[in-house]
Amino acid sequence: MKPIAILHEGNNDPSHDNKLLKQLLIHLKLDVDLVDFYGMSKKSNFFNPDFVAYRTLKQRVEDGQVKKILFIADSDYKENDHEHNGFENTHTQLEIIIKKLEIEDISSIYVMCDPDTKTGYLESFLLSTIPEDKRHCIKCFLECSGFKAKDGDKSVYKRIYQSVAHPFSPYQFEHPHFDELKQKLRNLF
Amino acid sequence: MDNHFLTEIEIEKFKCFSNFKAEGFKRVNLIGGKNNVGKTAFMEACYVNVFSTNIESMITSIASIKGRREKANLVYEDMEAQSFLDSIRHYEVVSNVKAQKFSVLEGNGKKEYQFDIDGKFASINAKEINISIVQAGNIDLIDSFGRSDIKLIQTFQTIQKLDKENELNSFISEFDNSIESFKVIGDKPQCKVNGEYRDITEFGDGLKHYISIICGLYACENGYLFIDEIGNGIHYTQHDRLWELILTLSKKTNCQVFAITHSKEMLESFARVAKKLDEQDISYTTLVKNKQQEIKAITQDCEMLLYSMSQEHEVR
Repeated sequence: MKPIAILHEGNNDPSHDNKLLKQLLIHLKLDVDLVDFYGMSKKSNFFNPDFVAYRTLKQRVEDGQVKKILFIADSDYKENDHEHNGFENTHTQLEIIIKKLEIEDISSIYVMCDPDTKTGYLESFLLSTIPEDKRHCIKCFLECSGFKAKDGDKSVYKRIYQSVAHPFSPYQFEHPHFDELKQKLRNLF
Repeated sequence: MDNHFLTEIEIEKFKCFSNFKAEGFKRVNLIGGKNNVGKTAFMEACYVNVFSTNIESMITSIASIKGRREKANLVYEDMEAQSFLDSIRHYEVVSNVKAQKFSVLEGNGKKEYQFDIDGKFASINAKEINISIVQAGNIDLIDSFGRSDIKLIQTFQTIQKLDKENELNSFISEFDNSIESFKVIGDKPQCKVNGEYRDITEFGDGLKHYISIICGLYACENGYLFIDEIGNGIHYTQHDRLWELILTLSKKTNCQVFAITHSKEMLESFARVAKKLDEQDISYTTLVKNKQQEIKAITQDCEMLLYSMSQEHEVR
């Protein structure tokens, strides 16, 4: 069993979140083999104390196997869920569940979003790391094309990001927006 | 959950265990862990616990777990059985099924065997102990080193009584389609190939192990079947079918199964088949040693096991 747990949205390989985190750990020369990833599937599972990932994690914490945990959830948009969405709400709700699980001492939180607006998700975060002109171009395209649905946005973001963001894709790890996440990951080791 | 099933156990003292607790057992339970962590001893503790309803059965079960390791044929003299009791020395276990204590006390030239079964205490002078082997037809332990012919014949008799020979033969032909049937001729288990019966020892160990497990599942109706090293001699391509049989037959006969494995393939097969059959009544327990060298049990239910495996976590 591995001493570090990272909980993220989506599933284990080949989810986008998981891929980014693994590559960032390698970039930081941190030992990815010390980490177990817990795919939480959808965001609402983060707030369900009976979700199987929590039952598994809790057992491993109680047995002394897991020493550090990082929760990574999307901020999303407050207007879609006033209780669980938005940067502050997401952070607060994660704090509540961490307390309920009695793992406060070993847990930390990172809310994935565009750091400038504090909204969005992984794709918004990645877009925030590319030059302004390219970002503007993508935003304009999304507005004009009317991709409003979250899932539609995400997949389109991903596809556009991969092509338009070049040569900054897949990840612009040197961008200052990565600093906080990098520090959270370093703190796990 | 059936009332007779063992769901939790505390081993105060037995072999390498002290102050050990495990819980969350279901109808079919797979036990894993590294070498010498105590998997077989754990299963023996469970076996003695469910077998021992009185002093005679407790003596039988304690002596037999030692005897099995030393003499596979389970035929031993009283003196030998007494020496097996002496070597175990202490057994103290409480479960949701029963609570028992056994210890050997020696001093002032005297030796006594003390028993406490569900609060009923008895002390017997070593010179006066009467050893008689007790049979419990629906509680069985299949060893890792191969089943004796005597034991296989005993369990096969249940198949005969239930008129399940055809079913057994069809399971055997799935395992090896060259085998036409299985029979006990005289005092020898034999398999028919190309119209001719041949002694089972002429076939691989896996076949005998496979037949022993199926016979055990029928024989242990409303009881318990313990299987050490379940994958011994069985090719990985047969694992899924073996688990299908265990999961379906144990349900039919209301038999609780505890099996040990080292094999990743066997564990993966267990999880895969449980998922395929949508069988929730399973558990996987890993025995581990902590920094203080104490043995701990980590038991995952079906949902947790499937989740861990889907996330590619190391669960062995």
